[in-house]
Formats: sequence, C-alpha cells, structure tokens
Amino acid sequence: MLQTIFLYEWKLLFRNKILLLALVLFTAIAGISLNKGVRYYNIQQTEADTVRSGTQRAYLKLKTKFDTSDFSQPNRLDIEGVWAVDWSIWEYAVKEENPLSTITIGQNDIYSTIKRTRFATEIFSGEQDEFKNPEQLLTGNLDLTYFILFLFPLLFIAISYNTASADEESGVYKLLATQKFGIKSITTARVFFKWLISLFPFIIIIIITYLTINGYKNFGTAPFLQWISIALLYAGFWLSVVLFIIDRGWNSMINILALAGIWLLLLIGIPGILNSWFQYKYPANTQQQITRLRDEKAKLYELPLQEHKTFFAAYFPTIKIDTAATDTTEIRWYSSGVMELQKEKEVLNNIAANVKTQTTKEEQMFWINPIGGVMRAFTSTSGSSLQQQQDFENHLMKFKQQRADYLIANHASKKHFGKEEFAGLPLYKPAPAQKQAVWKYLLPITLLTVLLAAGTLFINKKTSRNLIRKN
Amino acid sequence: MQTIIKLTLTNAWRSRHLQIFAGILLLAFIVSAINSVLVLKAKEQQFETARQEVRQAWLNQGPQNPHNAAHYGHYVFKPVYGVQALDNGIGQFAGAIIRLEAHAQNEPKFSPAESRTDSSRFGEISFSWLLQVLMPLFIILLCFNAVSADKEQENLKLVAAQGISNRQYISGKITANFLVITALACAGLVTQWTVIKLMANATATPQDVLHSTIWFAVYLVYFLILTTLSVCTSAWAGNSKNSLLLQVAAWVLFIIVMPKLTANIGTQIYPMQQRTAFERAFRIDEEKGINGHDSQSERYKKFEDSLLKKYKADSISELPVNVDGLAMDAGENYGNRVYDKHFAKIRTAIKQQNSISKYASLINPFLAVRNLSTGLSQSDYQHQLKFVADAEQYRRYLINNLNTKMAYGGSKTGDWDWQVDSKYWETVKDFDYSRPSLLWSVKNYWYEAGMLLLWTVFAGLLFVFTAKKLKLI
Repeated sequence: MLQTIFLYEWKLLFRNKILLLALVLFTAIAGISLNKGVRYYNIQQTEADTVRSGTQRAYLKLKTKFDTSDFSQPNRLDIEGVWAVDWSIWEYAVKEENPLSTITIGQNDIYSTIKRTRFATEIFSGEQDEFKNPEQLLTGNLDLTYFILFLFPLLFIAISYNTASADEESGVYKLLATQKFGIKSITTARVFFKWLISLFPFIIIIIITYLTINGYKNFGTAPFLQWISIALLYAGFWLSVVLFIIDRGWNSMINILALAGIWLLLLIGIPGILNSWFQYKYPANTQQQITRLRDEKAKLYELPLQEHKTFFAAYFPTIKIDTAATDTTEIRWYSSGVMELQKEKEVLNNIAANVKTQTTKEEQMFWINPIGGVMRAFTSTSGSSLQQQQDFENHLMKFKQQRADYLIANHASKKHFGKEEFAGLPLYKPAPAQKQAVWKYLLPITLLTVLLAAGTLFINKKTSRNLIRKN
Repeated sequence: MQTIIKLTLTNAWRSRHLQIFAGILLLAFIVSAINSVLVLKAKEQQFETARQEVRQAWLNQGPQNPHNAAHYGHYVFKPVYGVQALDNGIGQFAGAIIRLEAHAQNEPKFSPAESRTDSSRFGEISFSWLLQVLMPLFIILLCFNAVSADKEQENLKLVAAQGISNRQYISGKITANFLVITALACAGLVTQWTVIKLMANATATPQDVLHSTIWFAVYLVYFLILTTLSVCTSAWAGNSKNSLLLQVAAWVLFIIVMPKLTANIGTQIYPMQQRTAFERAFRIDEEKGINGHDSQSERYKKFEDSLLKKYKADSISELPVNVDGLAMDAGENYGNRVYDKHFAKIRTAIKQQNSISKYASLINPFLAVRNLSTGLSQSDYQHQLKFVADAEQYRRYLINNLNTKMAYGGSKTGDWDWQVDSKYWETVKDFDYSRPSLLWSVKNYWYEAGMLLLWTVFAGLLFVFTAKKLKLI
C-alpha cells in the first residue's frame, strides 16, 4: 500500500510546480542558515586561535625573561612581582569550541567566550568581549535550529493541511473508501510522505553540515546524532499535530487556521508570554551587584592592617612568615588581593544562584512551553546554553583563585619568585566537557507527541466512519 | 457605501473566530501592558538606586589623589522612559551601563540578555510586538475573504442591484475593516496608558505622550496599508482559500523570514572588526602618541621640554605645575582621538549592517514600521549611540577636571601621594543625560517614513486599479 501511495504522491509532487519551487526555496534558506552558522563559527574560531597564539607568545616572552634574569638582586618587582607576573603572562581562557554551534548559534553571540585569566581583572570586565550589534541580536540568528524550529513546520503545514479535506471537497472520498486499506491508513501514509518531503531541505543541509563540520576540532558523531535525533523528534511532533488536526475531519480552511494557530501559539505566543514574565520575575540585577563590587573592593585595602594580617594567616596557614618584619604594604596587597577575588566569587555565585532558580523554573514551564524545552536541548547539545557559559566562568574563577594563591604564597614565603617558581605556575586548561542530560528537556514534547498520536488513532476511526457516512 | 460598511461591521461582529481572536488580542494587550510597565518600573527603580549609589560613592571617597579617583572611575546608566513600555526595542540586548575611567573608553556593558537563557530569543510580548506581528494576522483573518466570500456566495449581484459601484464597494470594505482594527488598536493603546498611569506614577511625561501619539499614528498608517492590501488581494484571489494561503504566506515571508534574512545579509556584506584586530590596530596608533604614565618615553621628554620652554624654567622641579597631570591630560586627548577613529569604524559597520533592513523597507513595510517604532520609542540603536556619546563627553569632562586639578591644584611632579580634600568631589558635576527631542528621534528615520508613505500611495493605487479593472460580477 505504502509503495502505491508514495508513487502516487511522488507523481503529484513532480506535477506541482509551486511545491517544487517551495522546496527549492526552503533548501536555499536552510543553506543560508548553515552558511550563517559556519561563518559565525569560523569567525569565533579565528578569534580563539589568535588569542591562543597570543597567549603562547606572551608566555614564551615571559619565560625568556625569567630564564635570562639574574635574581641575585633583591626585589625585581618589575619581573617577579605578583601583579607583574599576573599582568605579563597575558593569558586568555577560551570556551571550548563546539562544532555544533554552526547549527545552533544559541546564546554564543551574547555571552563572551574569551576572557583574560589575570586574577586582578574582574571576570565581569568584558574587556575581550566582541563588538555586538544590538539590532542584530534582537532580530536573532537565521541558523539551522531556527530553520527546523520555525520554518519546517510552516512548510509541512502548507503542503499537508488539506490532505484529506481536499479529497472530501473534490468528492473522491467514496472512491478512497472502496480501497481495501481504509481511509485512515491512506491519509496517514500520504501525510507521512509529505512529512518526508518537508524534511527534504533539512536532510540535504544536514548531510552538507556533516561533510562541512566533521573535520572540525572537538567534532563528535554522538553529539551530532543527538542533535539530529532532537530535530527528528521535533519534526515527529509536528507530524502528530498535523495528523491529529486532519483526522478531525474539518474543511481545509479550518485546518489551515487551526494549524497556523497552533504554530503561532507554540512558537510565538507561549514562549513570548513566558519570556516576558521571566523578565519581570527574574530581573537582571547583575548591573547593581557589579557596580557595588567596585566600591566593596575599594574598601578592602583600607581595612586595618591587623585585620589583613589575621586574614592572611588564616588563608595561608602553612606559610610561616614574620608578619611584623615583612613589609606591611605587601601584606596589605596580598590580603586585599585574595579578599577581592573572594568578593568577586561571591557576586559570581549570587548571579549563578539567581540563574539557577530561573532555569529551574523555566524547566518546569517546559510542560506548557514544550518548544522551549526543544530549544534548550539544542543549545545544550551545541554548548551554547547559559548553564554551559556559567560552567566556563566558574571554572575560570576557580583557576584565577588557584593562580592568585600560587603567586601570593610563593612570593610571601620565598626570597624570590624565580625560574623554578615560574615553571610551576599554573596555566589555564579548559574544563572537561560536562555530559548534558538533554532528554529531560524533551519529556514534554515527547509526551505531547505520544498523546496526539494516541488521540489520532482514537478519533480517526470515528471521523473516518463519519466521513464515509457523509459521502 | 454606508450600507457596505454597516454590513461588513455586522458580519465582523457576528463572526465567532474573529470574536475569539479579538478576545485573545485584547487579553494580550492587558498582559503585555502589565508586564511592560512592571519591567519598566523595576528598571527605573534600579536605575535610580544605582545612580544615587554611584554618586554617593563618588562624593564620599574622602581625601584622594585625583588620578586614583580617575582610575576608580564612575558609572553612568542609561535612563528609561515611559514610551519604552510600548516598544522596548534593543533594550534587552544593549548594555545600559558604562564605566568611565582614565585612559579607556569602555563600551556599554551588562545587557539584560547576558543573564538570560536561550528562551529570551523567542522574543517578548510587548504592545509593539502585538501591533507589528499579531495585528497583521488579525487583519488577514478579518479581510482575507472580504470580497471573495461575497463572490463565492454570489452576493455581488445583490450589491450591484443596489447601484453600488466597485469603488464604493471596495472602499466600504476597507473602511469598515479599518474601523474594526483601529478600534481594537485604540483599546490596546488605552489599556497601555491606563496601566502606565496607574502603576508607574512619574514614568509618563508629556514628551512620552507626544511620542506615543505619533508612534500610534504610524501604526494606524501601517494598518491602513495592510487592510487595503488584504481586501484587494481578496478581490483578486480566485477564492477565499487561495486568498488566505497567499496572505498567510506573505505574513510568514515579510514578518518572520525577511527580517532575519536582511539582518543576515547585513552581517555578511559588512562584517564587523573582531576584538583582537581592533585592539591591535588601536595599540599601533596609541603607541604613536604620548603616554601619561611613561615618563621615559621620547614623546614624554619632548612634552616636558615644551613645558620648560613655556614656563622659562630650567628643571621640572622649578615648574609651577605638576607635569604628571598635564602629561596625562595630553595622553587623554591623544587617546580620545585614537578611540574616536577606531570606534567610528565599528559604529559605521553596525550602521551599515542595519542599513540593509532599512533599505529593504522598500519591499517590506513591516521593516519601516519596526524601525520607526523603535526610533519613536527611543529604544533604537541611534539613541544608544547618543547615550554612549554623551557618556563619553562626560568622561572627558571628568578626567580633564581631575587631571587639571592634579596639574594646577598645588601638587608637585612625581608626588602621587598628593590628595585633594573631600569637598573637591562636590565641584565635579554629575552626569546628566539630556533626553533627545521628538524631532531628533524622527530625523534618523526619514527614509522609513518615506517608504511608509510610498506604501500608502501604492495601496491607494492598488485600490483604484482594483476598483477599475476588477470585474466583480
């Protein structure tokens, strides 16, 4: 049966010039969206490579300085001082590239993926942030994720909304009813064929995507297949929606209105309302916290010396130095340096806690905003979610602390921070990629798909009988 | 014509699906109004608190070396206006806070989107969004069968029998549908303003009322264009189904796909300079000038010599001024020129990227309205640039003031421990952002206004052509 129907639909497809044109047009749009993603990725990659090579050059330059310096002279602060080393090493932390960001740009165009590792540079300084065009950000990216989320359902709806109703309207229903397979099976098979046809632009472009990105750094077949599975699950959801609506037995006009309404509600209405609500419920209070941080940090240096000494002794319990004999300015600098970092960490943790509450609430809302869950699954798979950005920042913060501790401890406890100490200086290493459990975001859409499919099976029987009776 | 208007209005009033859609729209107006005003109010409070905190921190820094204060810096915040409750524009994606400090021109930072998840990319429900995106869909629903349904039900013979001409019939349809749309949009505007008045006390100023009146007028023109196009399409389409499909397809193309396409094309044609390339080019130019902190450099020495000559002194210690302060000021002046040159390139690239959407408004009135809407609600890139420019002017004033104090306030060259007393900070005036006028807001959008006018003319011509050429009966 399937073969006969597919052959019939195949013939119809080649006769329908408008549909062929639409397929070419959608394939072109999908191609443009891939091109956009690849260009964006390449720009980011070039930038990352530039800072990495800059980091390497700066390290070698500093190493040469240490190798050739004579530390017999006391106080070579211009070379060995805590802040001099921290400044001159000129190292950057680069968020690990994920080739799947070519197909899901996600939030990568908003977050900064390159940051300086200097412990005295605030993680919020954004001094390495790329220049952004806010109008561009507002409009959003036309990437392959946008294509599959927004445009694929439109194409599928446009070519399938009248699969059964057109037959009814043209009076061929009785003829179909005489077929041994039954109207339900015929309609399902025809819609399925149209679904495959609608996926044609996506399939072509995903093959091109694989050929383009499989050689990229960090490319993994498993995440790529995971991304495709999410896309297919989402496409499957629309198959169940269309089947469900068609099997209601409404006329073509009602079908198109209902399907367009569902599209509008799921992709624009619900996410838009929830986004607006979250904006109010969880306002971005980052700005105030960061401006306050400047003032709080400025006050730390002015704390009484005794407080600095006590703090230093508690923070570095293994370092035994004669704080009375040591230069008081140094103790003050060391102590306030660590205190400042702790304050910065505190603000980062506060922001992270706020985001955690927000994302937890959002995840709960995926039950009424299933497309939000699909989007989160896409961004998590491609490494461009807020959680992954925070993981990157937290990892960097830990590293900054580690470097500050090393520099200060060695300076405070040794006569010189020399060649040997420099060799042991911790260097930034990207955090190992966390495994993303994306399926929890997809539960709502999966359940909805199953329910719709079940509903179709049940209602379809009734409708088919009704339609046959009517005809 | 009156009969047609009455009949169309009665049909619209009785239509169940229109009632539902209008109800949804009205509900959305209320939700968007409450949400926009709450967000605006929270922003306004945050802005005011932060502004006061920062000013207090400035005033209470106690005795301090002026250059230390210049490094301590200052923060300025972009104010919010009542009219932004109607259209928040780039508000989510543009930084609203700038750190002002010596030697560096910083970009606005901490856009709300930076601490938001991917859900924020689905957009927000604002009044402007409802008018730009949902209202056209409502217009389509209202008008897609305005003429075709009469054709299919053979009502047109009755119309002709009553002596109603094509022109009267079509203009009656357009007028009646436009009245429905205007009534709905007015209800939305009234809702917005009621909520603003009730909840946001001082946010709405007379300038906001003026802006929103013009803003709303732009939307009415937009709706008139769309209603005319929709009714005429209904007249030309073979049947209601084709008319609906064609119009929904146009909605998807013009409102969903095209804005992203034009934005994409913009970035492809006018790529923006990357940060590392910017930094490199900037450093090359910066190193050619004087650095106020590098007293060993050749330029610094030359600068010192020029001062010795000016004051007819033999050594630095004889000078009645602090060379550090003057050198830093000279360094700032030079740095400002370098920054201006390099930032101009970035801003030009952004403007060029955005120009594609601007020029595309020739074929898409949605883009013209979107740009005009953000401009009139003062939430567009031009206003962002003005804020950045004003903040930079203030930074120059601030740093110049501090350097001058250092140079002429009685300190000696090399004495970095010299401090000004705490009263000095009060003499430095606070940042006062002057809100741009209505004319300023509109002047960047003459092209879009022209395009909207052109579309109005086109819609008018289409109406005339349809009335003349179309055989309705």
